[in-house]
Amino acid sequence: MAGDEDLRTQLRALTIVSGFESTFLYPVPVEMVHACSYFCDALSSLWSVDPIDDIVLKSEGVPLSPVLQAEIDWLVGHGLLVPSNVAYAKTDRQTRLRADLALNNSLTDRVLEVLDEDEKLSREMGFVREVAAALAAMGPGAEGRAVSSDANFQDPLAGMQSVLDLMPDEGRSSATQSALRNFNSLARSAMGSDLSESELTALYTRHLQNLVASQDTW
Amino acid sequence: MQFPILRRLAVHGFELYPGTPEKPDLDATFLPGVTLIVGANGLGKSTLILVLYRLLTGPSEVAGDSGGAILGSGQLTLRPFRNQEPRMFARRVADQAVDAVAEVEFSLGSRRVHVSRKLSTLQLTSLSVDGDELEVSEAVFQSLIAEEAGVGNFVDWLLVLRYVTFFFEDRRSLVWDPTAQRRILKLLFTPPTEEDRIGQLEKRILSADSRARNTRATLAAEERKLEQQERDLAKLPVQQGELEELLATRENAEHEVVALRERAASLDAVRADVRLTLLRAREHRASLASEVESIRFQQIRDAFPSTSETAAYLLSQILTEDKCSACGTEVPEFRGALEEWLSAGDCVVCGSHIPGPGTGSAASRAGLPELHERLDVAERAEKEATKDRDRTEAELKHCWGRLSEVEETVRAAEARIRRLELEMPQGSRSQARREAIRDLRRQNEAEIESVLQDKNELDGLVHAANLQIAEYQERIRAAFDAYAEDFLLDTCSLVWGSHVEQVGLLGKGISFSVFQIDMSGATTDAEVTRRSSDGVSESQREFIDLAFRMALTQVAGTDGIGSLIMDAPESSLDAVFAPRAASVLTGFASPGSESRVIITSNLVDGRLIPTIAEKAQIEGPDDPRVVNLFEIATPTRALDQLHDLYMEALRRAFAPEERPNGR
Amino acid sequence: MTGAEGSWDKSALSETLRDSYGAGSDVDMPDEIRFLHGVAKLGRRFFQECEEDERGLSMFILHAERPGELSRPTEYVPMLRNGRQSLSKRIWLTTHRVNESFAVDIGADESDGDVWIFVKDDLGFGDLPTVVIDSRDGRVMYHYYPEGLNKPELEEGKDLTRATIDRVSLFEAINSIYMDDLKTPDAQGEVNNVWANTARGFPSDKAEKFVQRVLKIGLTRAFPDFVIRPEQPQSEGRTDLEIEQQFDHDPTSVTRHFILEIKVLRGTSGTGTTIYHASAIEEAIRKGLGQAVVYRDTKPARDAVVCCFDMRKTFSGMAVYDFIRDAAMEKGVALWVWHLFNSSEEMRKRVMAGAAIGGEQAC
Repeated sequence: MAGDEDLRTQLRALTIVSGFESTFLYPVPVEMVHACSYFCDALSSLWSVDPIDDIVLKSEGVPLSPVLQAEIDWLVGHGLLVPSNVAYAKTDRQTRLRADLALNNSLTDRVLEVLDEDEKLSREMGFVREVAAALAAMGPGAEGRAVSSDANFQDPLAGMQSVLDLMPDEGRSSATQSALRNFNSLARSAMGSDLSESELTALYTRHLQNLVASQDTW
Repeated sequence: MQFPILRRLAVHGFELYPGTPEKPDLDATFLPGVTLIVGANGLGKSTLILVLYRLLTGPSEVAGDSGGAILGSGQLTLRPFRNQEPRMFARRVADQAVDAVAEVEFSLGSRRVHVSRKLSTLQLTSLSVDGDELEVSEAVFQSLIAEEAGVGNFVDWLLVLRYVTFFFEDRRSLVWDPTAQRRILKLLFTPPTEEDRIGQLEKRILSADSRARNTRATLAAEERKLEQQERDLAKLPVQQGELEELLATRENAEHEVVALRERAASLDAVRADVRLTLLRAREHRASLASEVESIRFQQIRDAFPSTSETAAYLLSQILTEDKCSACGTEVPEFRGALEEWLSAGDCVVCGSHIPGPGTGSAASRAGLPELHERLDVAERAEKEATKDRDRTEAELKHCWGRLSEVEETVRAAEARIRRLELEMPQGSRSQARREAIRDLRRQNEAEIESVLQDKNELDGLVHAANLQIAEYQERIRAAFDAYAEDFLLDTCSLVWGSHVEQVGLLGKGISFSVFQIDMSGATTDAEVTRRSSDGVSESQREFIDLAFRMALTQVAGTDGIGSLIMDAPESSLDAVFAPRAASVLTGFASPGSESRVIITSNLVDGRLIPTIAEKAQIEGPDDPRVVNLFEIATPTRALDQLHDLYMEALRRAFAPEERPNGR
Repeated sequence: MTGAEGSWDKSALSETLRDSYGAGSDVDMPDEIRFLHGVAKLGRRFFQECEEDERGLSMFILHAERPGELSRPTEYVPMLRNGRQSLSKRIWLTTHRVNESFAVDIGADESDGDVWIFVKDDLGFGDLPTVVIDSRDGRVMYHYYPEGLNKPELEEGKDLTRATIDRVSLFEAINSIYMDDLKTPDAQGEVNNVWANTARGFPSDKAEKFVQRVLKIGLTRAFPDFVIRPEQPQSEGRTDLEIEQQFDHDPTSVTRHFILEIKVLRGTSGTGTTIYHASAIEEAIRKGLGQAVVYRDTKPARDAVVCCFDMRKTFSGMAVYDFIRDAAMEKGVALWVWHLFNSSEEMRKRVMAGAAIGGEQAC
């Protein structure tokens, strides 16, 4: 079982980096990869996939997933990801790795092709790529603002240093799930249509972009 | 709201406080800042605090308040004192306090209230506001207080006094008790009408919930009787016994559902703790690992600038975690070799000797050994936290799984019972009972439906209240941090999160927003979040609660002021924490603030009182900010016999550099 | 954990929904179609609302990578869609999502020829999919070069301000999609076609999905500023399409022009073991008509079409649709039919027998 989980996480990391490949933010900063993975986790219930991290600590900056990082290291170790501009940044709270990641296409192209042939994985990859593209379009260094603008991070009922539960049980909803539900009910009342998973994903990331853009104005 | 600013307390004709011939009785003015009530055991310090409290409450109590979890029981009501309760002070003295009268003067905002009561019965003897006498009645007093304090009703006033203003020796906890806290937060930060709606709804749910369960029990009894009746008529050759068995099954399953729900709620709270602990542990471990890695990476880059970034990245990971990211193997020997090569300036890829100076002792660079040790500890802590989380999640999952199984059992039994009843021959004798059962069933279904509807409504109201309170959470956190940092060695902060409470037994829990305590040990790297008070020293526990009360007073109080009355704070403080506690207490009533802090002390060993006296610039027992019970109170036998020693202790308490008892 | 209302303000969500209507509906489309769709929507909105002096020529080139050093200065524009940038008089290098972009200015004195030469020769981007939007004469014309400016003969385009859709233009568009991409396995391409066994003419289970996808791509290409979306995205197995348009003067109003009820008519199952009788097929068409009416009236939509893709091997002429003509007429629903052939040879044989290549309007 543990092996499957690791593999899933590796695929997530690869898919994210490949998602950035078709954007102008490439090689992609590792913090952006973590931010992207966070958003994928937040949206995972919409896509009916398991999140990599179902809980996240609400704190300043991008939530760093040690689970994802371990698999990024593994992918670097296996030559599938190529790091550049490796550096370490120290803040008063913690030290973090800063590096840009690129695919080693000679190895990854085949892997990604195989993934694309699987209907379920290909669907998930499609979503992940959309999220990656949306983040890339916010511009370099926007990952922190993107995360802090996210519905879960803006939830007034979750204070700093509290646990954000992305997959709450007992019929409760995460803030992302509530936002998606609201989008759908607005669409239904305004246009008489339910929205597809892709449309909801796009609206979620568009809204995030709007929030980040309005911060830029200020 | 307007918290009371206590200004004066006087007690006349009470044998416990005869005073001195020059100044009979007790008459204390509380100036802004700290007032110390000093005395030995038995001189009536706690009684004095209680007098103060009872002057403000009168002979009333929150119904059901016996110090336990009364706050969870829906809408709280007021009950007048019963039987011997009003005689709590009369019993303390030989003359039954027949002539004793106590008076208190306090402000609520710009209004100044004066109250006096007979100590023998707590009966009101006078009541005035800004010098205007009012009708002397508890009803007038209670409505005056509720209005001027800006609380919904007098019960709220009692709760504020009990949970925010007065810190009695029983140390009723607030921040550690989510049920008490959610009540207090709501009454402090939401409009009184909201509080009422929530309270009323809770009360309705609780009674409807128990009514529904009673109906259920009656229904089961009727069903049993029906079976008995049919069996007596010998019309049940086949089903005989089955119904009885089903009824028992259903009953047991229903009990189990209740138990499982309670278990799930408590596991949910545990899970909140272990999740936070795990996330903090992970973050900490990852940060330390990155710190080590960054040093390692730099070493390799310095020694071999030509190494590819991938190689340097991988090698620095081996040097950090003994593990090869390329193949996943643990390689402590290789790591050792790598260390040596690096320090000798040898090639980090093949180990060949390269002429030239080495980098020196690589391992000692920038405190690496210490960092490695910390990383080891952090890794262990993370593993431990992961185990805890996995275990709790598994238990919770099992609990949910079992719950749905048992609920299914209830449904299946219910369906079978109904079918059996239909299959029974429709004997004329049992017709009435069948109808009764049908009615009861319908009634029960309606009752359950109504509880569930009410719970939905409650959920919405509580959510709205949570949002209203959330607007203050940052300020409360900041105020708490300011108090806590003076006191605690550890970093200690409030975490704004949620607490699920099962209101009634039917339906799902309601999520109330409350603060929890997050304590991260700075002395060790094992970051521990402690949401329950377990594992926190008594002194920490109390002062965290105290800091929380102060923060609430500061944020909820108009102009940020209030009074804080603490009985014997030093009793739980050790030598290290006492001076820190002094800072917190004097900090609350800082110069220029109208706030009052009233502290009793029996001069036990410790630096609390001397430090407070020093910080508040109280120079001796004669200072107007000291209520000296050694003079005012009836001496105890111990005081008579050891008078000089007590006086010496009293002197030392106000001597900045000396310790009491000469030690 | 939050309550039902969520932490994002609902009115702001409503604004996003209005401004980004149709977003995400094209993610399953090929990159160049998404690119065309994105540019057409963005271009129409911008040029219809812009000031007179902002009108001009702008060129969008699908360029998925960050461009290297160019001979002219470039400006990085991360979020082009946020509407803060003037699109006019610039060459935009953008991804298929038409958001993250680089801009190169077009000089005031540069002729169209200069711009074309600059793109083809200086930049070397003559073979990249390109959309030119020209609003100089008051209209908003788009010109799509699917294989770049080097192949001007492939240009497609129209006036976005007048773009509308009616039965005639829709029929033409579907017919052209059919001719190019559906009529035979050769047209459909090797993979994922509608046949489980091409040689024996057994239809695939996924035929509806395939047809829907081909139609969605083709219609998006034909009507790039419209939104083509599955009708019931939440329910499995539905293969219908809606054609919608959001008006710039009132972004809250969406006009649903058409409901397309796609019916694939099979003579046999995928293995050929089950033969479907005419009555079952008639029932399926009747059901399709019923659904089209319900959705048209409840959604509501301006018009509805039942598009039948007839995969039956035996050809009995259009008379087989006689049973439904009157009902469809009465309900005001169009019923169009296209035959899907399992080989070019089969197509020829059936044409000889009187079948049409291209659609027929049963009513």
